[in-house]
Amino acid sequence: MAETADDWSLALDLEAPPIYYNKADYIQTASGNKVSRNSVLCGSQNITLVGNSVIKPGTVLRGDLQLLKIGKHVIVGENCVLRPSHKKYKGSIAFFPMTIGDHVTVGAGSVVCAASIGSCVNIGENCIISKRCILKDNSLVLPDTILPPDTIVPPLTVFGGNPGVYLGDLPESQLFVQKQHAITEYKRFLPSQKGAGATSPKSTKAKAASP
Amino acid sequence: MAAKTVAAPTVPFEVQKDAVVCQEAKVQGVHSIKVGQGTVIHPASLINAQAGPIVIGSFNIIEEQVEIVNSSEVPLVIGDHNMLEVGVKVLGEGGQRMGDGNLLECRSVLPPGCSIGHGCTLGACTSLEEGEVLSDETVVVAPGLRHLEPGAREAHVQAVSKFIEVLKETLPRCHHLRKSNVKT
Repeated sequence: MAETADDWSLALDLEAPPIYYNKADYIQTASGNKVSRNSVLCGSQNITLVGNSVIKPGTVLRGDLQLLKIGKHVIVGENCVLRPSHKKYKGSIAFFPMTIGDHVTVGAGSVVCAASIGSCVNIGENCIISKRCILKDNSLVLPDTILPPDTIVPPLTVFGGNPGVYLGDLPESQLFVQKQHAITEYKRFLPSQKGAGATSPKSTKAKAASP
Repeated sequence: MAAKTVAAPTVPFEVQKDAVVCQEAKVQGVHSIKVGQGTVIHPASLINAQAGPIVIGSFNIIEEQVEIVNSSEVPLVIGDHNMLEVGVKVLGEGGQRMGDGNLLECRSVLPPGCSIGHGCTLGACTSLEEGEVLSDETVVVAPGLRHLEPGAREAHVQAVSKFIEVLKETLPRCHHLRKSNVKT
């Protein structure tokens, strides 16, 4: 099983050339997370990145509103906004913690206010996932989709359009396809050789959590 | 990080009492910017008084990646109790661009020359035609698809007021705020 997975990633590696980034522009943590210095992490004590995730520049993670739990091999594209959603509850407004599973890719320019996102979910570019949406495992959201509030995307389905509606089913192989996609995206994201001067990840993390 | 590079505002920036303005919110331009009482400005938003002043009323919520740019000498005025969600753009010349109790959903755009009345809703990713004036309590769902929603203004005002109460408690926990600099 593990062998075949490796073979696949090699095959895909040939198709996708590596993307090089300047080492000074990213913070690499011990668990393999690569977080751009130009991203905005609010309340980083509330943000959990399990490992091997990539956060690209311009992205805003709102940990100050509620807990934000992100699994491993999660790729968040440029200028995304990940913010926990809220709901009227007992007369006032309560924010929900937001959980994102493993092997999730979020395309550039998307706004994600979902309550929970399962594992192996693929979100395209410029999508808007409105408040309190639930995206189950192995689902696919096409680029430029606007999911209305409280939408539930069932497992192995494709959603797309404005407003986002059910468009079709996916084969069960989607689990492996998306897993490989996320892992290769992480693997091909490499520091360029000339980049130098990166500081230790711990001091920068503390800086982000300033107040 | 990015927030540290933002220098202390050289812009005349007036923050009224009780306004919650995060330090990470970018304020640019040479003209004055006034923020009214109780307004909440999230980090990573951009307010640019490029060619003229900007006046933001009281009890508004301005979320991240919002862009408010004034490219004329006339002051750009935004009313009270408006909710500008992630990625909203208010572009172009000044004037009374926005009334009270409006809801602008994610990534909607108010292009140059447009203005909206009171209690309007702009749906996600929608935009108005250039020079259009939107009448009170209109809901824009998609291009060419709109309807009226009586009583929307009152509902928006209530929702925004409640939301501000919560944000006033939440935001200062994790952010440095701009201090009020208006003497009363």
